[in-house]
Amino acid sequence: MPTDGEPTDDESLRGHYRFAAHAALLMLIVLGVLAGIWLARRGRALPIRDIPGLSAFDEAVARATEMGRPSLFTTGGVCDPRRVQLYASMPLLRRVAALSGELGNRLIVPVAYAETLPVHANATRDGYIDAGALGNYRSDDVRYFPGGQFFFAMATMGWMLKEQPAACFYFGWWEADSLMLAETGQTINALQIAGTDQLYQVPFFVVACDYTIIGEEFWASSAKMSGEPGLLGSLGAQDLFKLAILALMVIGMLLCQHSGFAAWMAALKKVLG
Amino acid sequence: MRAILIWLALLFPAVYYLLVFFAEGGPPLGEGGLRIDETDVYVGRGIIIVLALAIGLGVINLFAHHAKNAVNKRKDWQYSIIVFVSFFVVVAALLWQYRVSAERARVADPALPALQQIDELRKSQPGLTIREAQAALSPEHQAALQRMRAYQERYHFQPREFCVNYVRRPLEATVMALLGFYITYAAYRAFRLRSLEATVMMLSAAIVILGSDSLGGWLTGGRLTVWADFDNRVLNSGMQRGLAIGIGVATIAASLRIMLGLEKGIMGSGRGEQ
Amino acid sequence: MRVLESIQRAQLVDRRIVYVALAIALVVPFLVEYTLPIYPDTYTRMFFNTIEQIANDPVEREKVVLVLSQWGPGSDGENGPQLQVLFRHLLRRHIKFILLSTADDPVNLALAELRLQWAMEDEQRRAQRLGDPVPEWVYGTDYMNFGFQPSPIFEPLARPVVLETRALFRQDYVYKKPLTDENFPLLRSFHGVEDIALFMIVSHTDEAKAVCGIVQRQVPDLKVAEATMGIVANDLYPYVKSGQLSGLLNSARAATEYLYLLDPADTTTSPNDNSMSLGKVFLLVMVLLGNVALLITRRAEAAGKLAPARVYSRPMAPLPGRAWLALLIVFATGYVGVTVVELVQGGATGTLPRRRVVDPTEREERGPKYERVSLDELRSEQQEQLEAQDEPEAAQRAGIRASAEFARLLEKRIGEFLGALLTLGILSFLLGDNRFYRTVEAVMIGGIMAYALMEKWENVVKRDWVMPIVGGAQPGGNHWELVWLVLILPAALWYFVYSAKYRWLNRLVVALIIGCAVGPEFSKQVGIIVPQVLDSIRPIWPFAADATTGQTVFDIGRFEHLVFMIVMILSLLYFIFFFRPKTRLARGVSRAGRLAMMIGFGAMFGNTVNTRLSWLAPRFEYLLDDWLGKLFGS
Repeated sequence: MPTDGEPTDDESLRGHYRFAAHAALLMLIVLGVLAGIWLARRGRALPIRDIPGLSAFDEAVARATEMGRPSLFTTGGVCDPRRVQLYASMPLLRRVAALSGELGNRLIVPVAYAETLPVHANATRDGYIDAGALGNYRSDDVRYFPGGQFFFAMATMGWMLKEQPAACFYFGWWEADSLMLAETGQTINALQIAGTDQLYQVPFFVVACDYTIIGEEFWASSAKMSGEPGLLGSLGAQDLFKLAILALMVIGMLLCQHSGFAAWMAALKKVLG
Repeated sequence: MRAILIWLALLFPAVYYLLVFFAEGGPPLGEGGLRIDETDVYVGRGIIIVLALAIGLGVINLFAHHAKNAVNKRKDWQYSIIVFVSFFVVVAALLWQYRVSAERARVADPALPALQQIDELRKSQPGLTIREAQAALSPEHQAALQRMRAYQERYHFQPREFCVNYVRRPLEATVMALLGFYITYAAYRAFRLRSLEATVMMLSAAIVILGSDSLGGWLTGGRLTVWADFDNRVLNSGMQRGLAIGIGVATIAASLRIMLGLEKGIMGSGRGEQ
Repeated sequence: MRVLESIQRAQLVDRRIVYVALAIALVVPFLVEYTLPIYPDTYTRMFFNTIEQIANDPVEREKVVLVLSQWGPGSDGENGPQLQVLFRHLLRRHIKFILLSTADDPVNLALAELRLQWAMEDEQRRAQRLGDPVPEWVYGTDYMNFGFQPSPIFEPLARPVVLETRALFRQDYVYKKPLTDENFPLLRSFHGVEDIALFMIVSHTDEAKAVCGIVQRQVPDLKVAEATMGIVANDLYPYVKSGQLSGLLNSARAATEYLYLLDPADTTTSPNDNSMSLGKVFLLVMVLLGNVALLITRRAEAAGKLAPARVYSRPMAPLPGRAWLALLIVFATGYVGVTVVELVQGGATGTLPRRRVVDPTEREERGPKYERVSLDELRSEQQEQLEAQDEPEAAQRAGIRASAEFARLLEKRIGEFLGALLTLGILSFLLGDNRFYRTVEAVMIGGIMAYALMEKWENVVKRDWVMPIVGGAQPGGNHWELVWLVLILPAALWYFVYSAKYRWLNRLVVALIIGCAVGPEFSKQVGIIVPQVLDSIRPIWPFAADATTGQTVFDIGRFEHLVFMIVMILSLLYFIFFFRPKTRLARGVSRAGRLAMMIGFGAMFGNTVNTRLSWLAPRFEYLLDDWLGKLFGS
């Protein structure tokens, strides 16, 4: 807060209103999600549609096993420890590792940040443990490539050309390296599945990958994959909340045709920002 | 027990950040007047340091892999030797740089007060030239300034600058430049009139590509620029906002699930480990 | 029939042929000069007007502009020109500014400082050309550099960077002095967020989102603007629309547009701009040809004249050994040949190339760009300069300075040859995996690892942890700094990943970091959602009464908002997971949602093409200009 000159009473009041609105929205979402989880665990969950791409995981790893080539899973060159998307991708890595363990297929995992090496290694290892195949886990297959996004991409592209993975999984927070890796996967004829909420990388995954999980579907993936009612319940709650926001916006827009309401709305925007 | 400890290690900082959010503008923690939301600068610094200290993991991982390659003479082991040579050459270059920087600091530091004084003199006496201001300095300051200038006039090889300007920059810039080739081929391969969706995507891309370009503007007298502008500001933005609202809600929900330890696949429990 | 089969195969030409053709298209504008008109877009104008408003407002111009520079060598092609033109505007209007960074690498700040220096030189040259007094700017009064607080995580620093700037950075970067009013007059105008006229971000990512989401909630009047790459700008358009951002520069072309707004008479498209432009045209021509081939093939298949073939992808077949050998011979001959020419030229004449020294009143582009100079010529130049400035010991110092400059030119020339070799090594990857590329890759991996290790130690561990603790342990030191010793515990936990028995302890520090990542998301996302939702609630009926005449007129702003909302709603509906379209209407809505998204993805793709080609064109400029161009003085 400003140290020179105290805020005016008006500014303080606006600040309080703004904070109250943000806090109220946050609490609503949190309570809604908790309610969704609670209801779902009691058997009252909304049915959630399939997410195309998730069901292709088994097919991809099986294809790689048949071809005698490894699978590759990466969260990319910019999925650093601050990104929640990194952690949301780990259940998927664990799933791919479990499939690889079950089928006796090798899984290679390039990593861009030293701090995330244990995260990837733990998830991979846990997957092999889930399949009862811990003996197949090779720590050497979780490799760190330093230097940030582009040097990571270079090194991973080199590794892909060397190892020729037949199934490539790209999940997490992506930037320019998305196209580099996806195009390299194209040149080696890999089956590619990608998922990100980074909207401006989606077009490249769409044009280069066989399956692309877009935006919110990415966040829903771990819940959908686990199949656990509580997690699916939170998805239903999210949906209801979005519909509520949508209804609010539509009603607001219609009411704005009345000039009095429009003026009140403009004043509210100034306060709530 | 282990799972609970791991969960608490996750919950504690998450709750702290929620407290920071709720405590904005709230009362101070104690007599010093420090509020909880003002502590995040220190917490941020702590996180940076803990993350930085993980760099050893990367070094160990890299060395272990390439050492095994080289020692066991696996396929392409020669490249592993190059990795080690390159590593130690750069370490040597950077240690050399630290010596050069230390020497420069030894010469420059005594001159900094002199430079500050010249600035102050010139501010207090507008129109005063640098030479005149220098002449007004004390003999010690003038000598320090002279030593610094004599140092600056000579050539000193800066290994870090050389590595950055002539190795790292061309490498990084060229790797990024590969994308220009990839995107061209990706567009050529994918933008086909196979379905309505593909056609729509292609047309939208074409309008933006040409419309945001001088050539496109010139060919259509600026009209395509207006359409590209509309595509970006209205159509693209509308889609982005819709997805952003959904992603925002989804991210909060997912963060909550992680925070409550419901996402078992993320943390694991240490099961299978001693 | 053969023709039809060829057209069918031409739907998917080998990628290497496309790459070579693209390279030729990009090179042409560097060999054939031409200019094109410039059309600044709405948000570039908005950014420009924001700074103009600050300059023209007597209250705002007493405040300070914070310039957060977060880009590195990789996005130099876009962020570099953007930052330079923004600096020029601030310098020209004498608006006080502070440069700072939270990027993880000190090289980022060095690049920003270089752009500031170039901006100052550009403004001084412009003033000389116009016959105006040559401006000067005093560090500490007109501008400052707070340096960098490295962090791979920006979100936790978003609030401190804006609200506690002086406390976070603590000392300036140039003099390493504490940030007090006594040390730096500029700081008398800057004590807190209320003294920030504009928070300007120049970055290859979207820090503006964090600032808008986390900081603007507390300080809604804070003006924020960002200059970024084309692909990132995609994400920020909604924020400009909602008023959270006061301007947005989208990719390198926006830098040219901005410069055009600053200097309409003097700005034209450069060979770099034209190269990007021609690259885009090439891309569209390839797409057109591909579709023409598809349509012809489809008709032939439908008429039974051709067997159907699914031509969607083609793995890259490795080049035969002979082809690699031929390429190696051509490359080696070329590179060695160029090296020999340079050595012969330099050896025979005792000269090295440098940028031609131009008369300040002359426009830069006229005449040859480079000239060759000898040590004696440099010595004479230096002596003349020193004598003109009435400097003592001119002859002796001229010799020293000339030797230094000659050595720098030699270093630069060696560096350019090395850079060209590495550039060509990376580009060789386009033709397929090869030993040259692998060697460059190996050099890079080892070198970068060493660089990352040493820089982390110097700029984070030693500077921000070890030295404060050591200082705190000294008598008279701040003993609170010893609290940082507790970080040994979480740091040590990282390495338990190598312990068979206590491996699980590693998960504790991982969990800690996950908590730190997850925690700020709540406030950040809410701060993003609320303004977006509120901004959406506006009148949408496009016919409204005109304020002055009272007549009903078509309101373009409302119409745009109506279209905007339709697209937004359709996109939002597509991601309702429990919504399973069973009726025709529902399926129609779902399809409309997909189409709405495809329009957006197409626009994003288009913006990204701008970015990617703006990275590619400067590489050719480097090879043709900096490397080969200097050979021939062109």
